[in-house]
Amino acid sequence: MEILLVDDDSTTLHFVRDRLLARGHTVETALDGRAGLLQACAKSFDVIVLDRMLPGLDGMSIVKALRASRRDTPIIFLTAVGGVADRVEGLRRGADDYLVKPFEMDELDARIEALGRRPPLTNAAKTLSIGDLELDRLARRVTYGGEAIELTLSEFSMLEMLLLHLGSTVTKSMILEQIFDMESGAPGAIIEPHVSRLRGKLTRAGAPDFIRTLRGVGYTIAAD
Amino acid sequence: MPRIDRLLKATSFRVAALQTCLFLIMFAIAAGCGLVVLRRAELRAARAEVEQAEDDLSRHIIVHGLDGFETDWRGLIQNPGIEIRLEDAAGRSITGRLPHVALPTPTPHKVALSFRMDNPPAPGRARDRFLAINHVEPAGMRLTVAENLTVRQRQDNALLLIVASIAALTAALGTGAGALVGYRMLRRLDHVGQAIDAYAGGDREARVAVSSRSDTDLDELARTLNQMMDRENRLVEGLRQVSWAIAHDLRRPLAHHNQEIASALQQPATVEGYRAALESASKRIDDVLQTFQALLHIAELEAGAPGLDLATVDLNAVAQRMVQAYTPMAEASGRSLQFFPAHTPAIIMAEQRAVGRMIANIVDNALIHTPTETAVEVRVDALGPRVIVSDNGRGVPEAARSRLFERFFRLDASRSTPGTGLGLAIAAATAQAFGGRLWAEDAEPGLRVIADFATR
Repeated sequence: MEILLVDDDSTTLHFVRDRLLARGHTVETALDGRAGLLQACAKSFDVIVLDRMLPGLDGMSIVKALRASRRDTPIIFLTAVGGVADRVEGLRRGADDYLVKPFEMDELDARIEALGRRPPLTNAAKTLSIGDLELDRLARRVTYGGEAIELTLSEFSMLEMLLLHLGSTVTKSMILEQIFDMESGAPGAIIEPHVSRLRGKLTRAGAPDFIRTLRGVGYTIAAD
Repeated sequence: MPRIDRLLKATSFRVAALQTCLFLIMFAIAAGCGLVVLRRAELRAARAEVEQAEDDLSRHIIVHGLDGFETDWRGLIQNPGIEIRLEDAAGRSITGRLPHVALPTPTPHKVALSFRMDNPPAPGRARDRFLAINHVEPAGMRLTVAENLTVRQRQDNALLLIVASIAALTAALGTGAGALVGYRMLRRLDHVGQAIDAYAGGDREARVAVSSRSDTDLDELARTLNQMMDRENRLVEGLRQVSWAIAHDLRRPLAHHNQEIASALQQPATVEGYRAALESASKRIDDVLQTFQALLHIAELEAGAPGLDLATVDLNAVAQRMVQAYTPMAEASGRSLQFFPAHTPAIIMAEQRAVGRMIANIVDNALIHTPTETAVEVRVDALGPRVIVSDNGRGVPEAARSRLFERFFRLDASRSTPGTGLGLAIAAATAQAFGGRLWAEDAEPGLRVIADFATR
C-alpha cells in the first residue's frame, strides 16, 4: 500500500516508517502540516496517517481540507493521550479511524490494513464465507456445510469483523470499539472468553479452527 | 472612620443614596407643580365666592337700603371667612371690619384686586393677603368685599409640611436602610475576604460562612467559592496522592525492569537471551505507559472535560451492553453476572463510551476482586437515575470503602490480583465529570457500588 505519514516527531516518524517499509508498504513522510497537505493533494495514497499536533497546519485542518476537496483517502488520526474531544472532533471532521498515542505498532499495522482493504460500502458483500463456513449479513445467519450455528449478537459481529478483514489482523482495541462500543483503553481481557465461545461453537459444528490468536495483539482468519 | 469611608463607597449604599436623591427630586417637582395648581384653583374659588357675596350684599343695599344692614350683613352671605367695609362717599366707615385700604379710585364697575393687611394686627406677624372686590353703591357709598386668602394658604402649607415630612422620613429610612444593608454586606464581604486569605495562607479547611436563614446573592457567591475551594482541595489531594502513588507504585515495575536488564547483561550473550529480556522489558514499559494513560485520562475527566461530546445516554442500554460484554468472562471464571434494567429509560447527559467504561470498570472490579461462585448484579434505577453494581462476595471493611475510589488504592487481599489500581478512580472521575458521584456501601454480604446521577 502507498501510505503518507505526517508527524513532526522525527523519532516516531522514522520508527513507524521503517516498520511500514519492512512490511512491504511504500511510505512517504512529511514533518509539518503544510508539506503533508501538499503531498496528500499531489498524489493518491491508500492510507494517510496523520498526527493531531503539527507545526504549520494542524491535523484537524488537514482532514477538513482534504474532505472539502472531495478526497476520500482513508485517514488514521493520531491523537494525544486521553484526548476524548480530539478523537470525537477528528471523526466528526472526516477521519476514518483514530489511535491514541502511545500506540502499539501492531495496532497501527492492523488498522492500516483494515482501512486500506476496506471495500467500498456500496459493494459490501451480503454474504461472507471461508471454506464451508458462510455468514449471511442480512439474515444474520451463520452456517457450516449448510447447518445453522447459533451465535450471540457479539459472537456474530466478531465473526463478521474477522471475515471482513480476512487475512488481516483484527486487534482487541478494534473489537472493543466496534463491537462493544468501548474505549480502546478498556480492559481487553473480556474479549478472550467471547472468542473462545465462538471457536467452541464453530468447531462443535465441524468447522476447522479458523481463528488464529495473535498474542497480545488480536485475532485473524487466514485467507487460505 | 475608615469603616464609614468604606460604607460610603459600598455599592449597596450608593445605590440606596442615589435612589433616595432621585426620589427627593421627583417629589420636589411633583409637590411644586401640585402647589401651583392648588393655589390657582383656590384663587378661582375665592374670587367666585367674593363675587357672589358682593352681589348678594349690593342687591340687599339697593332693595332694602342700609336699614339693618350694619347688624345683619353677615347673615346674608354664606362664607364666614368673608370680611367687608362699607364707607360713605367721604371714606368714613359705615360698617364692616376691614380697615380702610387705599384702593384705586372707585368706578361704576367692579374691580378685583388683592392686597395685604393686618388681620388681626399682631406684632412681628406677616400681613395677611386678601382678595377683594370694590364696588360703588348708591349715594357714592363704596362696598369692599374681601376674603382672607392666608387661611387657605396656611392650610396648604400645613398639608405641604405633612407631605414633606413623610418624604423626608422616607428618604431618611431609605438612606438608613442602604447604610444598614451596605454595612451588613461589608461585614459579609470581610468574612469572605478573611476566608479566602486564610485559604490562600494554607488553611485548606477555611470556608466562607453561608447563612442558613437567607438565600441572598452573597450566599450564592459563598457557596460557589466554597465549591471552588472544595474542588481545588480535591485536586490538590489527588495530586498529592498521585505523586505519592507514582513514586511508590511505578517504582516497582521500573526496578524489576532494571533488574532484568542487569541480569540479561550478566548472562552469556545470546540472541535468545537478549530477545527474552527485551520482550519482558517492553511488556513492563507497556504496563507503565498504560498506567500513565489511565492517570492522564483521570486528569482529563477531573479537569471538567470541556470538550466532551455530551449527548443523551440511556443507562439501560449502556449497562446491558457492558453486561453482555462481561458475561462470558464472568461465567468462564465461575461467577455469575445478571442484569436488571429499569422499566423506563434512565437518561443522562454524558458521553456514551465514557459511561460504558465507567460501568465496565465497576463490573471488572467486582469480577476480579471476588471469590469464585460470586453473584454479581448490575441494576439500573430510572429514579436518580443510577447504576448499582452489587456482589455477594467478601465485601470491603467500612474504613476502606471511601478509599476505594482513590488512585492506586488496593486492599491488602487484592495486592496480588492484576490491574493498575485505577479502574474505580477512573469510574469515579467519569461519574463526577457528568454531574454524578460514585460511592460504595455494604451489600450484606458483599459490596454495592452506586453511580448516582441524581444531581444532574
